[in-house]
Amino acid sequence: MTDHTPLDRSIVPKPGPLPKVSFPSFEDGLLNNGLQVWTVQNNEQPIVSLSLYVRGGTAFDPRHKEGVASSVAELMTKGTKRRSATEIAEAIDFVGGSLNVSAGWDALTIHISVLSKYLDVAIDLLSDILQNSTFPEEELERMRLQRLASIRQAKADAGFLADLVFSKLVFSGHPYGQQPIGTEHSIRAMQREDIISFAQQFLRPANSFLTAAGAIRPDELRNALDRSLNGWSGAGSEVVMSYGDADLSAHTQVGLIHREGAVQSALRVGHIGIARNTPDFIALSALNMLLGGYFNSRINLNLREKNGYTYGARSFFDTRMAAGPFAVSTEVRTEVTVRAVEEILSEIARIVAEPVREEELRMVKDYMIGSFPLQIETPQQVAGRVATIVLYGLERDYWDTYREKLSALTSVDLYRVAREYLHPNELTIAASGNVQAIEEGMGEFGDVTVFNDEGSVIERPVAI
Amino acid sequence: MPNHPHPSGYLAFEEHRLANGLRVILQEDHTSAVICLNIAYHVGSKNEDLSRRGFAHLFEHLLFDGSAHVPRGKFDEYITQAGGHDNAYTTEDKTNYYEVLPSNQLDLALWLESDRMLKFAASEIGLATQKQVVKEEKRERYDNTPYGSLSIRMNRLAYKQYPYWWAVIGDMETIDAATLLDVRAFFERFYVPENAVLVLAGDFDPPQALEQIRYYFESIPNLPQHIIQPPFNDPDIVEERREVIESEPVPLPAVFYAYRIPPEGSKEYLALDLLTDILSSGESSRLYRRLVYELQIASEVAAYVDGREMPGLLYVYAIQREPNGSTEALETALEDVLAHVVREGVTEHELQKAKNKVEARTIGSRLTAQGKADQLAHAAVFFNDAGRVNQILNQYVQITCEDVRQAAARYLRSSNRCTVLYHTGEQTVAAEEVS
Repeated sequence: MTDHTPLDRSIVPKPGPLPKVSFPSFEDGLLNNGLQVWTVQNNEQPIVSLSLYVRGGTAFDPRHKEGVASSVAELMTKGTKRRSATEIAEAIDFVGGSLNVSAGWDALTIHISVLSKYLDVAIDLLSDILQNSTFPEEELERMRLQRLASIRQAKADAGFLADLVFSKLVFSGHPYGQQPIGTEHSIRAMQREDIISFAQQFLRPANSFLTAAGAIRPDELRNALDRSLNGWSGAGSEVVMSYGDADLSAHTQVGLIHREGAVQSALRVGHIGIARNTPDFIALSALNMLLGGYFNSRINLNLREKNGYTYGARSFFDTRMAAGPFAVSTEVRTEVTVRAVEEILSEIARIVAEPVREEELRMVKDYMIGSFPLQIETPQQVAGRVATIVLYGLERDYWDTYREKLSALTSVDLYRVAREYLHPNELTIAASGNVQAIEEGMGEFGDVTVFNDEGSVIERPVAI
Repeated sequence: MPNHPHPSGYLAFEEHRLANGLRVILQEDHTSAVICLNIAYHVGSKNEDLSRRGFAHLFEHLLFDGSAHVPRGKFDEYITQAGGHDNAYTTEDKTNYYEVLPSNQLDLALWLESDRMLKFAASEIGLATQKQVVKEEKRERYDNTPYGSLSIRMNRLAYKQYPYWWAVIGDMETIDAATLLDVRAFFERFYVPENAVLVLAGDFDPPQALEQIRYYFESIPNLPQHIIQPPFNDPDIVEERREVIESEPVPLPAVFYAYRIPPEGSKEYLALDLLTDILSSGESSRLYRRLVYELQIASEVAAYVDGREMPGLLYVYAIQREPNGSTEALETALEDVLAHVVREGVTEHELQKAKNKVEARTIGSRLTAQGKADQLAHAAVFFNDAGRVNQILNQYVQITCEDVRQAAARYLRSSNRCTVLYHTGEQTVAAEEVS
C-alpha cells in the first residue's frame, strides 16, 4: 500500500482493503440464582465495568406517580442494611470507581466501573445494594428536596421544555408521556411505600441480567458473583410490558411553551416512531441517517450549512420496548423559527415523496458500515450492544449480520419505509422560546396549544 | 497484543520529526480496527488580535470549509462517507483537529489533513456562513443557557491584561469584523508545520505509516515564524473581584469562585487538581457532603481546575437549592469548607482516594484511539514532551498532604479570588458591591 509515485493531491486516496472486523465474542452463563451473565473479555486496559439491567423502568411508573422508577434508581445507593449512604459513596469513591443507577424507559440499570484490581469492591457493592437496600425515609426526604430543585432548574432549560411539550402531545395518555424525573406535584406526593413496592416488584434475578466488560475472565466473574449474589432471589419470571403503542395524531399540531429571556427557539418536530425490535429497524436507521442522523444529512446541511439558522440539527428514532418518538431536534434563533420549521417540514415531505438517490444512500451505507468498528472500539461499547440484544430479544447474531443487512438496502427499501413510517401531515411541532414572537407564525402549521412549565395547557379565550 | 493489561494505562509510542519541522508521534495499538489522526496547532485565543477576539475558533470552523484540493463542504463528506467522524476544538492555548476512521482509511485522513496544512481556501460565502454558525453556537451555549455567560464573565474578571481576559468564543462584533485577509494572515502565521504536532494512534504498521506521513506532509514548506507565546503579564489578584448578575434568567441562585493558579503541570497545579477531587468528586467529597447532604442548601457543587499554559483558574461553585433568598449562606458554607482545608489540610485517606480517582480517570480516558491521541498531542504541545503521559500518574503519586495544604493556603485565599453571583429576579437582594 506504500506509494512511491509522485504525490498528486488532486486525487482522493482509495481506501485499503476492508479491515477484518467481527463483532467481538461474548459468553453467557447462568448464576445459581437464575441471573444471566454476559461477558465481553478484553484485557487492553485494566478496567472492568459491570451493568445490571432490571426490566421495568419509567414506563412502569404508576399512574399519577411519575418519577418512582427514577427515585428507586437514585435511592438504591442511599443506604443498605450494611452501609449508610455516605459509606456507599466512600467505598466506591475510594477506589476511584463509579457507581450509578439510572432509570430508562424500559429498564433500571446499575453501572459500576472500577480498575480491575478493585473488582472485589465492585461486586461487594453490587451485592449489597441489590440485596440490602433499605430506601431510608430520611434519604427520601433529602432526595425529594433535591429533585424539586432539579425540576425547577430543568424548567429553565430550553431543550427540556421543548421535550416536555413534545412528549405531552405525542404520548398523550401513554406511559411514555410521563416525566422521568417526575413533576413537582408527583415528587411532593411520593411515599416510601411507592418506592419499596416498585423495587419489590421488579428487582429479581429472573427479571434481570448482567453484562460485564473489560479485563475479566467469564468463569472467574461467575464464580465471584455466585458467591456474593447467592442470597439474592425472588420468585416470578420476567415482567411483561403491558402497554401498546401510542396513536398518531389526526393532523399536524403545534405546542408552544414560553421561556423567559429566550433568544432561541428549541424545536422538536415529529410523531410516534417505532419499537426497537421492528424488523425495519435497520432500514429506518439508514433513512434517518440520510434525513438528519449525521453531519452530512439533509436537515443539518439545510439548516446549518445552507441557511446558518443553527449550530446543529438532527433527527432520530428513539427506539424502546414499545414505539418511541421520531423527532427532528434543533435550536434556532428566534427570528428564523418559522422558516426553520418550514425547512424541516419540506425535508420530511420530500423524503416521503421522492425516492432518495442511490448515490446519497451509498454515502449513508458507507458511513454506517464504515463507522461500525468505531462503535465497538471499547469493551464497554460492545457490552452495551450485547445488552440491546438481550433486552429487546434480538437474535444472538444480530450484530454479526448487521453490516450485511445494511449493505443490502436499496433506495426502494428506503422509499417503502419512508412512506410507511413517516407522516408529514400528522406531525407534532413543539417549540420553547419567546411565545409572543413566534405564536402567530407557528399558527400557519396547525392548531396551537400553549403550555405552562408544569406541562398543562394554558386555557385562553378563543381568538375572534 | 498478549493478554496482559498494561501497567496503569502505559502508552508506548515513537516520535519523529520531519524535515519541515512537523513533529510526528505514533501510538500503535491493534485492539480495534480503528485509527485516530490528531493534529494539534499551538495557537489559541490568547494569540488573537485584540480586535479579532474569537478568531482562532472561527478559523477552526473555516478549516473544514475547503482547502487546495478539497472543495467546500467536502471535508466532512469524505470523512463520514468513509465511516469516520471528525471534530475540532479550540482553547485559549491550542487548536486540536482529529479524525477517527476505520483503519483502512489512513490515507484519506493524511490526504485531508495535509491538504489543509498546505493551503486552505476559505471563500467569502464560507466565511459568512461560519460567522453565522459561530454566532448561533454562542447563542446556544453562552446566551441561551442558564449560567452560560459564566466563562465570559469570569475571564474578564480574572485577567486584566493578559489575552486570557476574553473567552475563546469571542464577541459578536469581533467575530463579524473578521475578513478573508485576516484568515490568510492567521493561517500563514500559525498553521505551519513547526507549530503543529501530528499524532497517529490505533491500528497501523508504524514503518509503513511513517512513510505515508512523510509522503503527504514532508513537502509542505515551513516558513519559520518564531512564534513566541505572549509572556504572562497580568498583575496578581490582590483583592477579591466580585460581580453580581441579576439581568440573566437563571432558575436558581448560584455562587461561582475562580482562583488564579499556576500553569498546568506544575507541582502546585497537580496538588490543587487533587484537592478539587477531594472537594467535589463523588458523594463522599467535602463540598458534596457539607453543602448538599448535610446542610442541604445546594443542589449542585463542583470544583475543578481549568488548566492553561499560563496561570489558569481553579473553579469552585455551588448552585442553591431554593430559588429564593440571598446566596449568603451558600457563600459562608463554601468559605468554611475551603478555610478548613487551608487550616487543617487534608487526610492521607482523602489524598489516596483522590489519587485513585486520577488513576482511574486517566486509564479510563485511554480506552479509545482518540483519547490516547489527544493526550499525547496535548503533552507534546504544552510541555514539548509526549512522554509526560507516562509520567503523569507517578507525579501525582508524589504529592503529599503537606503539598496540598500549602498550595491551598497559597492560592485559595479570598484575596486571590474572583466571584460571580447569579441572582434570580425573585430574591430580595442585599446591597452588594459590584466591581
